[in-house]
Amino acid sequence: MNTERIKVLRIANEILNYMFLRCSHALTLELKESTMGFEITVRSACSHIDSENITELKKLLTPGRHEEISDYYWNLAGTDNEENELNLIGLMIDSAEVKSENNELIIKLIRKK
Amino acid sequence: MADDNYIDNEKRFFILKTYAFSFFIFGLLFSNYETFFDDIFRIITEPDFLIVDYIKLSGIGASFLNCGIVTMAAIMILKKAKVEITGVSIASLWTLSGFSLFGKNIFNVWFVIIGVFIYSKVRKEPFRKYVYIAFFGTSLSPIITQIIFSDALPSFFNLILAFITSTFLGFLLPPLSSYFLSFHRGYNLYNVGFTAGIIATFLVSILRAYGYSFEPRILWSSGNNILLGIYLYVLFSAMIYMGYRYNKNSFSGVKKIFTYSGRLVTDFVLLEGMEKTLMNMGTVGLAATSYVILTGAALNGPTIGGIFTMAGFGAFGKHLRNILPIFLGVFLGSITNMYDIHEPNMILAALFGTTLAPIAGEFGVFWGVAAGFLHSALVTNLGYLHGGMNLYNNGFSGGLVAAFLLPIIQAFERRGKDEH
Repeated sequence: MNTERIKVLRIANEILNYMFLRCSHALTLELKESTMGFEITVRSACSHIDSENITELKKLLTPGRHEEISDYYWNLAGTDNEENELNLIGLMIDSAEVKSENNELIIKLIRKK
Repeated sequence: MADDNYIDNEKRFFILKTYAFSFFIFGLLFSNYETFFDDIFRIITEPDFLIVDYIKLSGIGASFLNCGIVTMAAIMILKKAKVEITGVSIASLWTLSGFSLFGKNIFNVWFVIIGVFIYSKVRKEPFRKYVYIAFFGTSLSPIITQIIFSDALPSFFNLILAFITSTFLGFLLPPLSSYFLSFHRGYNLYNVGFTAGIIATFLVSILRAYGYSFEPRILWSSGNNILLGIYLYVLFSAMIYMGYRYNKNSFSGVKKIFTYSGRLVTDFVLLEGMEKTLMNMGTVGLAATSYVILTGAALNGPTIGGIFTMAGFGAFGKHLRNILPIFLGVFLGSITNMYDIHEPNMILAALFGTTLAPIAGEFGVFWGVAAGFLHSALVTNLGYLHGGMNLYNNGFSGGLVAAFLLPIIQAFERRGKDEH
């Protein structure tokens, strides 16, 4: 498997891990690859995530892609089930959307090729 | 995202340049103009393996001039590479500055950087992606000096051999340093130090097998605590003040930095903004300087190198909450083991041992103290393996301590969680 796809799977794994630890254990992952890049969407029922959590998540996931950092440190992403590396995920993606609708947390990430 | 518009990238570069310029001016002020060129020449030609204090070798003036020139050149590389200044940029730069007082100089740092540059060209990728590995990778610079100024071969062949070796090391560093992250899972901040330790151990073992020898030596100056102490307190106080001013004359938001574990990758500039980061860096720098002074150790090239490195990582993972348990652990080691607390290996173990700060940040004071204590013992045993050729000996030790402790910590932590 090429490195790009491994990175995308690590990103997906990190988000799954985050939601698995904090939300319900019924998760939906959608991963789409197009010529433009990858789109990862994870949904889960998450009644106890408040607006403060959403703000914090947005902050961690939206610093913008920084290849000079993430290409060095990406190996840390998605490998640890105990602690999260959302800081790093934020540096590996181009955009992130975080929202809570009807007690469902939805995180949508885009990594361009 | 942090509200960071107040200090844009140009201003960040300006701040970094100001500090580089201050090193240079401080060096000029205390240079001996009669022996100036001899002092610089000695810094370039003397073997640089651990521990060579440039202040002992050539005085405060030449050492800080070397530091200022290396730092300014590195800033120009970052500028040329069109890098956005973030926490890791600052950490890599201040580490380079610090070690320019004991082992890195205006001559020997370029070889590894060129090696990484060639690697990036072979990969057909911008050098920007590898610039931090290149900067951190200059920890292997002593190998270059050792080969070039060795009398084993004629000078020209030594130069060729040094260039080939450095290019080879440059090729090895990016893939290895990325791979070795998984060994300590980001709990050792000086990851390239760990990688370079492994590389240097292999290289020195091969060289020893062919009859090369690496005699340990320590050049260590003392007696400059008042002058250097004043300089450092002014330097870091100014940093706090600058951050305070940019933060609209307020300390608000700095406490948020203490809530992060510091585990790789915790970039305070991206997370909390440059102004709060400056205040944190200044605080870490003051704490490190105070530790050296309070323990009765000397402020010199190596200890200021440690202080600068700590301050730099104040932008990339370190803060008072996660460094103090490490200090305490090394302190406990120092007062119970056979070394004195102010001896070179113990004071450097305390300063550079904060590479393990994320363990304290993530798992609490007890494990931070345990990590510091273990590090104080292990770090004294590793120098032989790489013959002092890896300047980040503490990063090497930190990787091993983290890898050893993490499974133990998590066994206890998980057990605790499972019981609940």
